[in-house]
Order: sequence, then C-alpha cells, then structure tokens
Amino acid sequence: MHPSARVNLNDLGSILEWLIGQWWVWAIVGVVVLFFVVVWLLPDAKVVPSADFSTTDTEANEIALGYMQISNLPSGPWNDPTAPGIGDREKKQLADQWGLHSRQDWLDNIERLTTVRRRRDPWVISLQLRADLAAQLGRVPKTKEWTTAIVEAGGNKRDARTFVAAIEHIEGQVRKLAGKDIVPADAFVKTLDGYALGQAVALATWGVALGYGDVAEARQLIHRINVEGRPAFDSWVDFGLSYIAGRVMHWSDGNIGDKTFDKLGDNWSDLKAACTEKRNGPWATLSWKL
Amino acid sequence: MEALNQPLQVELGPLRERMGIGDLLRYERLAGIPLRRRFFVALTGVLLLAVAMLVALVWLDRTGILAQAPVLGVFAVGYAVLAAVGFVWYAIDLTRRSRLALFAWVNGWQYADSLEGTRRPGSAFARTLRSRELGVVASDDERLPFELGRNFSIGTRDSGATVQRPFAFVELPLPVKVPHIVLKNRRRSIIPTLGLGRGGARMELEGEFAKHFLLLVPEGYQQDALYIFTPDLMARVIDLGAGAEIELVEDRLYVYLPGGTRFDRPATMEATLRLAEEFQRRFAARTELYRDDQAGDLAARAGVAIGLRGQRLAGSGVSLMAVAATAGVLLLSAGVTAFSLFGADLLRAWGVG
Repeated sequence: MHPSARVNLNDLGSILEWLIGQWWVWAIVGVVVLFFVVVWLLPDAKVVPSADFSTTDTEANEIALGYMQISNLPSGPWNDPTAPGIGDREKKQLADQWGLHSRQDWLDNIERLTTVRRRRDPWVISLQLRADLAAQLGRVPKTKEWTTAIVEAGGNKRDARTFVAAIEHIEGQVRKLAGKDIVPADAFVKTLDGYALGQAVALATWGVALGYGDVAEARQLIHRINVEGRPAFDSWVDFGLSYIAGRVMHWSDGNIGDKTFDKLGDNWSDLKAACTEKRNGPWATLSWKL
Repeated sequence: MEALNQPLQVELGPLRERMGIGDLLRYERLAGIPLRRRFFVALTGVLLLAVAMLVALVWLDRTGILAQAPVLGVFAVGYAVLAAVGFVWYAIDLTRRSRLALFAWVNGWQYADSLEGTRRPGSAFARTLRSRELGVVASDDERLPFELGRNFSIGTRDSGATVQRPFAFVELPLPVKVPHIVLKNRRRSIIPTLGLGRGGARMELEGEFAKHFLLLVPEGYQQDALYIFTPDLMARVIDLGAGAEIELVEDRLYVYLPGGTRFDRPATMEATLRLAEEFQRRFAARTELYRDDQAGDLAARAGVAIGLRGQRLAGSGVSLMAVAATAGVLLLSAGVTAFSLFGADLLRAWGVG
C-alpha cells in the first residue's frame, strides 16, 4: 500500500503526521525560512551619489530637493544634474508624458510646476486651515477639529471628511512604513506643493539629458525653485511628506481606495533612504536651511 | 501684436473633404493611434471572427448538431453580424475624427485622437473616476483660446458607479478665478446635475432665461452670480447656447453639449466656434474685474482668490442614467421574483402550458 493511502483525510492529526514525515515538506519550509532570514539579514541598499559632483555644498543641497523624483524615474545619482540614467527609451517616454518637444516646452513645464504647482484651491485652503489651527493649538489638530474648522469656513461637510480622511490616511501609512523615527508624530502635511517642486528640480536635470539646456542653466533653475519653494517647509521630512501626499492626491484626485496608497505612495521607501544616515541618505546629512 | 487685431479666419474646408482609406491610414499614423485600435487590425479581427463563425457553422451542420439545435446557428450568424456592424460604426467614427484632425491641423491648432487623465476641473469631468476624451481640438491662439472634444466615462469594477452619458464640451479660459456656477438646462439634461449644489442657492433669473436655465451657485454668492450674468449676457447665452449646459469653475468656462454633437460637420463647427468666440469675449469682459469680497484672510494667506464656500457646489450630481439603470435592475428583479412565485398560475390563466 502507498504510504499516503494510510492518511485519514478526516483526521487533521493524521494529515500533519504524514506531512512531517515527508522530506520535501521540510525542504520547502527550509527554503522559505532561508529566504526570510537572508532578506532580514541583508542591509538596506545605500544611496549612491555621483563621484563627479559634490554631495555637501549648496548646489548639492539644492538638487537634493529633487531626490524623491530623481529616484522615482530613476534618472541617475541624485547629485548629478546631467541625469545620466536616462536612456533613449526614457527620453522618448519623458517627451511623450511631459510634452517635452522643445526647449520652450521644458522651460514652460518647470515654470508651471514652480508657480502653479498642481494646486487645487479647495485643498490649499483646507491645508492652510490645518496649519493655522496647529499654530493656535500648539499641536497637530485632531480629525474632528480640522473637519469642523473646514465646515465653519464654508466647506462642504462630506467633501471635508473625505479630504481629511485621505490626508490622515497617507500620513499614517508613511509614518507606519518609513518609521516613527523618520516621520515623528508632530510631522503633518501642510501643503501638497512638495510634489510639484520635487518634479520641477528633477525636470531641470532631465532637460540637460534631453539637450535642452546645460548644467549651468539647470543649476540656475534649481536655485530658483529652492528660493521660491523652500520657505513653505520646515524640514526635509516635512517636504518629503508633502511630496508623497501630493503625488497620491494628484493622481487619485483625492479618491483614496484600499490600494491607492500601495500604488501611488510607494516612494515612502525613498523618503526612508533619504533620511537614513547609515544609508548615505542626503537628507540625513544636509541642512534644510540653505 | 498686429496679428491679434486681425479677425480670426477659420478654414472649414477640411470638414467637407471625402476621406479615403489612404487618408485614414495616414491619420492613424500622424495621430499616433496604437496598433490594436487601427483600421486594418479591427478589419482583420472582424474577418477572422466571420471565418471562425463560418467554420463553426459548417462543423455544426456536418455533425448534425445544427439540426438538433438551430439556435446555435442564430448565435453564430448574430455574432458575425454584430461584429460587422461594430466595425462599420468604428470606421465611420474614425473617418469623422480624421476629418476633424485635418481641420485642426489646417488651422494651426493641436489635435489629439484620444486623451485620458486630463483632470479638467469641471464637475462633469471630476465626478468620473476614469474617462476618455476623443477628437480633442485645442487652440492657443490668443484671439480664440479653446479646447473641444467628446468625453466618454469608462466604468470598470470599482468605477462603474461613476459612469455617465457621453457629452461634448467646449472649454474656454477665464481671466480670473470665479465662484462655482452651473447653468442647469431645464429642457435638456446633458451632465449629471441631479442633487448638485444641495444646500446652495438655486436662482431663477428673469424672463426667457428662467425658462431655459436654473442657476446653481454656492450659498452667499448670489450677488456675484448677478454681477457676472448681466441681462445682455443672459440674452446671448439663450441665443447661442439654449441647448447647452454651462459651468464656470475656477478660471474655466465649460459649455456642455449633447454627446452626439457632430463637430466634424461644418455647420456645427462654425456654430460652436461662434459660440466659443462670443462666450470667451463676453465672459472675459464680465469676469476680468471680478473679486471675491468674501474670500477673507484665510484665502489670502493660502494665496487663493475664492473663499472656501465659493470654491465648489456641494455634491457631484447624480447621473440620470445610473438612476434609470438601478431602477431597471430593481424592476427586473421584482419581475423575475414575481414570475417565479406566480408565473405558473399566470400561464395557466392565459391558457399556456
């Protein structure tokens, strides 16, 4: 009789006993355990900058504002303004996605991202209200306090609830995944501008790769983006949180479903890397104040 | 600068052109239509389906199955006919779009065969989770800046509830941001406005205008609406856009037209451009000095021109199509249930079975 024929399928104990006696079961368990041990033991990848450009001076600090977007494409080492990671295929994709068919298109896109910043007025006011409330209270406003403030300012209750829930969900997810040591409890989203500003810096470097400008011009553009954009933020984490929330909100139109954050907020890992000194994260070593 | 003073000359000739197969193929190439949506791919698909159905019919006949179940033959022929009709409809629409593209290019405007994720602020665009715009013509000429096209909402599993009837639109820029105002057409519903603006003001303006339109504005912005909609502007809105619905949101004006609007017809395009030119000029004149006096410090600190109350009308509007579909499903379910309970008695009473 075949050994498996002795297994009583109506008895769980009998099935388990039979499984324990099989070598291939132990092999599968061993491979799975080994995989998790290796993954757990492996150190997180380090952020590798370009050796040809500084990682510590003002220019490095300014280009670091585009870290999240540069890593997202990816278009090369974060401190390299020539975006050397962009190949022919990426160039074509960039031209199609961003409508970059001329130098003027490139400059217009940077201008739009630096000034208009993908803003939606109802969201901008609601976040301003939150920042005002936080300044008054000396802490992050609670959900009810923020929602009530929006409604009292004339906002629609249902829209206010949806928006507040969306922003708080994104913050909670980033804090959980990146770690509370990186995104502390008192860090909160005050603006969604970080996404457009980060994109503007990256776009300045992509223009060099596309042949629409040189490094000196890209540096000038990046300097201007920093001068105009940075004052609205308090720290790198503040900016990174704004970038992720801006990205998720923009592409989802504020309709946050079960899988929205998984799809659009996946660059929490870039925020974690950027803020971790052991991984050579630029945001961990560079000062926020220029 | 001198060019700006010249009246805009629009060449309508391309809309009268007859398009051949060669023109369609050239259009597909120039408009960057993906391979899977091209004419010959669709034609090949239909022919393959027809051959498959023919082979199936022959096989069914030889094995004697067709004689036992002739309904299978009806299915086979039906699918082939459906595919052929679908292809003809597809080819007609492709011809219309190619004519529209030629018209746009001849006039120096931009054209896109299909656009997704345009994120227009209009409520009819914002309420759908996913939509596609077809045959979009865009002009950045300062004398007549506009975009027009047709919008089709796409319903997948999680976005099915936001599906609405297709509609055509004309988008015009305004010089400043204004409160959200919707002119709901009383005689012809084009976009979902049922429930839009609940809690807001519903203004019935005077005379003929009130017969055509109901003005929806956020509560507290009635005076602002009257500032923009002067009697002479209202008169022109009736003259030119009596069959349309209109929306002012942020710094955009939308004119919504029925989904079947044929922009590829010279007369329709001419009327649409006349409407666009006059609306753009008149609404720009009425709004360029507009300022929201209720915006307050909060909006000023946020760098926003319109106060939170005036930003958006509450709600997103319920689609009549969705209401009809839900009612239809409920009625059908009730009918099936009733038939399963009392059907046998009914059939007996009618002398059937």
